[in-house]
Amino acid sequence: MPITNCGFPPMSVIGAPPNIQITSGAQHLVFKGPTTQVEIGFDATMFQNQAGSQLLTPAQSGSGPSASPPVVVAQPKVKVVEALIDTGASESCIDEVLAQELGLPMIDQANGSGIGGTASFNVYLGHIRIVGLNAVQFGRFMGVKLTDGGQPHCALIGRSMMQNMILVYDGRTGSVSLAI
Amino acid sequence: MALEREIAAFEKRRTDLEQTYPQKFVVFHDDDFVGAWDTLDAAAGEAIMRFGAGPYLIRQVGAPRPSLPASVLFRPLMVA
Repeated sequence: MPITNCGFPPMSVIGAPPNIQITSGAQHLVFKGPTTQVEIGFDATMFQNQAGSQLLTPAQSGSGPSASPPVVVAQPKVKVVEALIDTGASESCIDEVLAQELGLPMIDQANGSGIGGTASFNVYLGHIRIVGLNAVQFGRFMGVKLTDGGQPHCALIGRSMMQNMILVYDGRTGSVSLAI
Repeated sequence: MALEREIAAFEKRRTDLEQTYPQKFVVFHDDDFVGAWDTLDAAAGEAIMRFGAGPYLIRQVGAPRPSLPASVLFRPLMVA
């Protein structure tokens, strides 16, 4: 069973000289939360395998599924960043700044409700791959302001991605394991 | 604003779409309604094949407003 560690070692060194702090794994876990390396990007081939099927409406003149040759999409851009395992989130999200940096296709703008009221967010096509598990979720993701808000993570792994996974959280030691 | 034309075209046809394609995923490119699909993957695959990285609108007809994770805190703009 593939397992990846999303927690912290018993003792961690944080910061750079002269402001070095030594914390326990348990303290580090409280401060940062369960964290894992993920690859964020957009790979058209993940979606293009789905093309040409299930068209429910008669195509408009000249715009049928095979009316024109496929558009060549640029090579996928990807970046490996840290993501927060966020069991409080139903959906996974990507940092807005990172989404723009990677050139993820923006497919919608939506009003979301949350703490503090409502706000407008961009919605992107892309994928999140948990590196340690080689587990991929592709689809649409809300672009949210994580780094702009001072958060250390560039993505949130929500429950939709974890629905077939096992998460073991040990707050006493700072150990967190995620498995599929 | 990105997707301004596509969103305006969607809003113009919203009533018709809600009656004809409830819960389906529709694609708009510029002012044109491209089609409706059962799944996001199928709609996205077709949109990518035709229009590459966009811009295009992919929206589920009648979908509820998304809820934001509590991790994404924000303050509403205050009016003086």
